[in-house]
Amino acid sequence: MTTPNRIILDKYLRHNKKFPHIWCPGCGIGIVLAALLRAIDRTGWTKDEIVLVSGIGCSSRAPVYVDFNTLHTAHGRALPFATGIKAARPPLKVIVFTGDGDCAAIGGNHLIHACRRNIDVTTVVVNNYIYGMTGGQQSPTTPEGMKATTATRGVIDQPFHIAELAASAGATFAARSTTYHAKELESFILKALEHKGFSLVEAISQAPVCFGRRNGMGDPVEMVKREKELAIPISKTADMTFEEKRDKIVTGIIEEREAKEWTDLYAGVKKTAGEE
Amino acid sequence: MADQLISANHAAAMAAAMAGNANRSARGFCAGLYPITPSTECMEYLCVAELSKGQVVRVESEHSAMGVCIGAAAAGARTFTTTSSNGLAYMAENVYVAALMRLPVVMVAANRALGPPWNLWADHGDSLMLRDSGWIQIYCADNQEVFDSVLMAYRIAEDKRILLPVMVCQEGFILSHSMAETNIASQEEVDGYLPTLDLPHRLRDDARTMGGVDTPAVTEAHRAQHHAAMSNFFEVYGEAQDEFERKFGRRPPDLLVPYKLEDAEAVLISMGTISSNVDCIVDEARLRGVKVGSIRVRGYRPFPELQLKELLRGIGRVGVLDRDISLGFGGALWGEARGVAEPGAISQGYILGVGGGDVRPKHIEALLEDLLKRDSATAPIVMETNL
Repeated sequence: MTTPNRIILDKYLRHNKKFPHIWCPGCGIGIVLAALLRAIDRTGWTKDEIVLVSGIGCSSRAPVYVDFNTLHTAHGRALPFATGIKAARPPLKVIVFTGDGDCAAIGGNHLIHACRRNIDVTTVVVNNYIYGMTGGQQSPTTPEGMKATTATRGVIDQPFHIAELAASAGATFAARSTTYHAKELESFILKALEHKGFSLVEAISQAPVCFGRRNGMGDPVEMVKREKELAIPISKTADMTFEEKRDKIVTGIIEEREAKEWTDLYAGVKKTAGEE
Repeated sequence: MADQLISANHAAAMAAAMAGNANRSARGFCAGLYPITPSTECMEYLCVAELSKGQVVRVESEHSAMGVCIGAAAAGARTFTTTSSNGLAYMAENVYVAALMRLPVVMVAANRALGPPWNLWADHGDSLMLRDSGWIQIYCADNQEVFDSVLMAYRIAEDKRILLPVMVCQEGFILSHSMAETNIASQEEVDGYLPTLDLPHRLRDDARTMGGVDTPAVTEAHRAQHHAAMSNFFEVYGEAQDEFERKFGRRPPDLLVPYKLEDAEAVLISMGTISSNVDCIVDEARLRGVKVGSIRVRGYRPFPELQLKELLRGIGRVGVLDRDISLGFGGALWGEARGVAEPGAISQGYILGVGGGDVRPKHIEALLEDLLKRDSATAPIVMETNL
């Protein structure tokens, strides 16, 4: 038996304090946040043992709307703050909620090092291909040729693929889904939360005002339908070339493996050193 | 020349683009740019602007934005960036690098309060954090000044007696987003005002090293040279004003802008846009027979200490208005001004408009009344809570 969405949202949102939210009509961040809240509800964790950490950007506003321990930090820096929390208090469930700009641009270095460290932190990245909070500048995931206020003639830089980047940097769980596949997204986030080690879920999302509008992508419903059309499960991509995959959204679990986790390793070092 | 109704962000970008084009017969223009409220529209304009010989790199952070400017300037390009608040804080390491490498980078800072908690509005605390970084700092009071100051900044920064980066500061939203009629020079006029950049230590065919390691004695010598270049600024600034007037037919303001100081017994000192409200209150007080004047500080680094001392001669009451707070001390401008006031004068600091709080005439009236009735100065007064 599943708990109705409304009851879960009411349980976790600070609905009397922080609303209305700042997200544009039709934005996908709410869908991703709801998927996270449903996944958290399924873990059985209490609100008091969860810490939600964010940096700066549209998605980074999420922690102020939810009733966990929350830390709204500097642009791009959520992961170092989260690392500090986990290192000092390993029993806490530390989750980072971030966006493509915060996590892959200004915070990109922190992302690869958190992956490499394999610390038990879960990162949910809302990838809407654009800097939304400042009004639509190109981000490191904006596909080539797409338009932004800073790329009126089309982007020339090649984009990052965040989930693959995380996997190659050492994340022991990395997955991608979309706001269209909200149930799948929820199940990936649940797996990530329950995974021991650094886990990352990339949620492809729509930014109708800051991205879709400049690229002729129609209304939010059309943008979400586009995610459905472009999505291809990773199981069907084995024989596809990079070029063939380039314009698709590869969904599924990109990486899932077991490896020693940082706080456990650290405890082992202390034990060896005779400090515990 | 043509008047256009534009924001200070666009005025800054237009000036930077024209300064870049003016260097087209040399190494052109290069900007490292990254968005942050409230300076975003300036960088967006430059991303759209066609530069005849230039590049704009849409980097991943403010730190990289200044990095691109440093590299491009070392290669001989005219460079520009713009940022604000925590973006400037993140950029800080490279802000120092640009200055210590003596590179004539020009930056426009849209002044905004530092967070957290996050605040988007005007506060001089961000650029004042970098007052000791070795950059020249100029604070503007209107959109025309922003346009003119960016052009002047290149001329001053690239002068062989200076070779230092210049930060042109404008208050976020109050100027950055306010439309005002601004006289925009033609490209030909700008070409005439800005000679091509000829950096003596440019990275070129003849291989050389920038950076490297200093021994203590060499560091002392480098700081002494840097400090001496700062003191050359006052002369170079005056020449840049004269030449600006010859080329464009208007004279940019002095580094200190006095108002009704003749016979004044009290003076209000401020920076940026607060000064225009101060002048209105000075006018009203004068009608009531109060002998009060004002000084706007436009040049903060290097600080025009001797000039200010001259203006403050014989004035017994000095009120200093700071849109910033050096926590544990008081206003940064007050700290500078009280040191040069007449011995025995009452130098009272007032902190107001921090975090974008509205500085209204009634606030200035209240602090003037306070200043006039004082027997002595006290600790700086934080207006929002104390009056």
